[in-house]
Amino acid sequence: MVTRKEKGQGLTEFALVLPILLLLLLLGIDPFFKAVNIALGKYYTFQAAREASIFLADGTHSCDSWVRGHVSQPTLLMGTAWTLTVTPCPSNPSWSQVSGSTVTATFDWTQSTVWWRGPWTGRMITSDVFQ
Amino acid sequence: MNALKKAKAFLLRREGEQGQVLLILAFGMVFLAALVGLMIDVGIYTTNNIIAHNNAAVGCVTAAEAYRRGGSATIAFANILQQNGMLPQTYSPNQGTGLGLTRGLENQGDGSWRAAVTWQQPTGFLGIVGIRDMTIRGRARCVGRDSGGLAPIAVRQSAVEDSLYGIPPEEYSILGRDPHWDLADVESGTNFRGAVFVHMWCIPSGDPNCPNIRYFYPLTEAPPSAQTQKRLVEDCFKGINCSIWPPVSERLPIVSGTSDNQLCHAFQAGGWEVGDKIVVIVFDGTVYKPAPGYGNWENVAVVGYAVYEITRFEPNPRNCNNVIARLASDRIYDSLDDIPADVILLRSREISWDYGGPIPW
Repeated sequence: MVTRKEKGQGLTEFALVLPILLLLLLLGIDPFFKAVNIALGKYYTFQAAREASIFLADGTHSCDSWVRGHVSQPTLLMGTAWTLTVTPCPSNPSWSQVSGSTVTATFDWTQSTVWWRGPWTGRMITSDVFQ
Repeated sequence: MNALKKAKAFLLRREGEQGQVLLILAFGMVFLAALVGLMIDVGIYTTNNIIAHNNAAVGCVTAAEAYRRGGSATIAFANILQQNGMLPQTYSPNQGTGLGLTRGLENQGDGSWRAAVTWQQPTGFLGIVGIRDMTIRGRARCVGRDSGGLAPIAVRQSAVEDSLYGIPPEEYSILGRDPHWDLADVESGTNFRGAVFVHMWCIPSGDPNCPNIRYFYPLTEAPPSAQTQKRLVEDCFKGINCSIWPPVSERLPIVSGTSDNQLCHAFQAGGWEVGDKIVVIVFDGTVYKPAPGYGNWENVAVVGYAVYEITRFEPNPRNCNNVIARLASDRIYDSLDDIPADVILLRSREISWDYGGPIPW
């Protein structure tokens, strides 16, 4: 027979354990977001380097505008700022590539954190070869 | 106060009930650690698979491009992957073949390439349950361009239109003067042999005198020396350093001061053979000679683009003066985007791994 004192014991125990469990779960959120952002960063740099490598100078578009027009608008988890740099890929519309040379796309980002001391920063780099 | 009493009472429970929280906590922590660990490891797995695929794709296209230009596909493949932080054991030696390729680079022999990278990624939390590593694999199939892009050759619009309407001759010279088919067909165009510069455009395009030239990098000399001009045209025939697409209405200087023989040899040195298809510029038929005060950039106006198929080299392939070709497109294209990829492949690119149709596509 359950006494009155024993009533709610499970609930109390659960209430004591829950914060610890939640804390552990929440501490994993920031690293998880960072992992996702790394994957996204890799994807953006891959896209940017690929687009730059096939750029055709038509006198109107520059390599830079071509790449930015063809790369997805970066979306990040908890991202607060990002920059995408493609080198060499200037904004001069009279620039065309040197075949076989390397083009490098660098994606830098900053993400705010929920539980860890932040903000965190990240960088992904992908190299490709001009066609 | 009431809550404090309850907490005190809870902590002073009977001995048999003490330790239950600890037990729940222990089980809960193990469960949660497994959950978080699984989440992190799945994240690592997914991220690395994306990285692997991207690297395989970059490596594949780079290799196909290097091969097309006469270089070593294997070296190009290794170099670009190393630049992207891949360890040699992830892409070498080859493992598997064809659809079953899991590591390395393979020429499929049909114009396409397959590339794959594989490595064992140590797990984080899954190691607790005995899973110490996971296989990361990325693979990509690609095709190299089957041409050098836009060739620095301009063909008269009326010649293209005659071919479109089936008016003979079916084949004629698109590079090098041909007594049977005068490409220039204008009094001022005696220097024209079919080749134009795509690295130099006349600006403004509406002024046929070509008062100012717009130079495209990697051309940096203004005006370029004869030697530089020669090299640029040769490079363009090879499809290198020539990613330039002059739009309709631009005016391009013609290549002069060279012989039919030199041009034909440069064309052959670019790897062109009978049966290859080539994208050429269509000009309006007039080789405009500027007034003396403007300099000597004889030029032509771009009206579109057409695809030709090379049929032979005249008088013979070993010592040619003319590139003979026939029209292979059904119209004059207005832009690059109008040219179907199955007519001619202008860019090396990734295709699906198990694509079974004709290549190039």
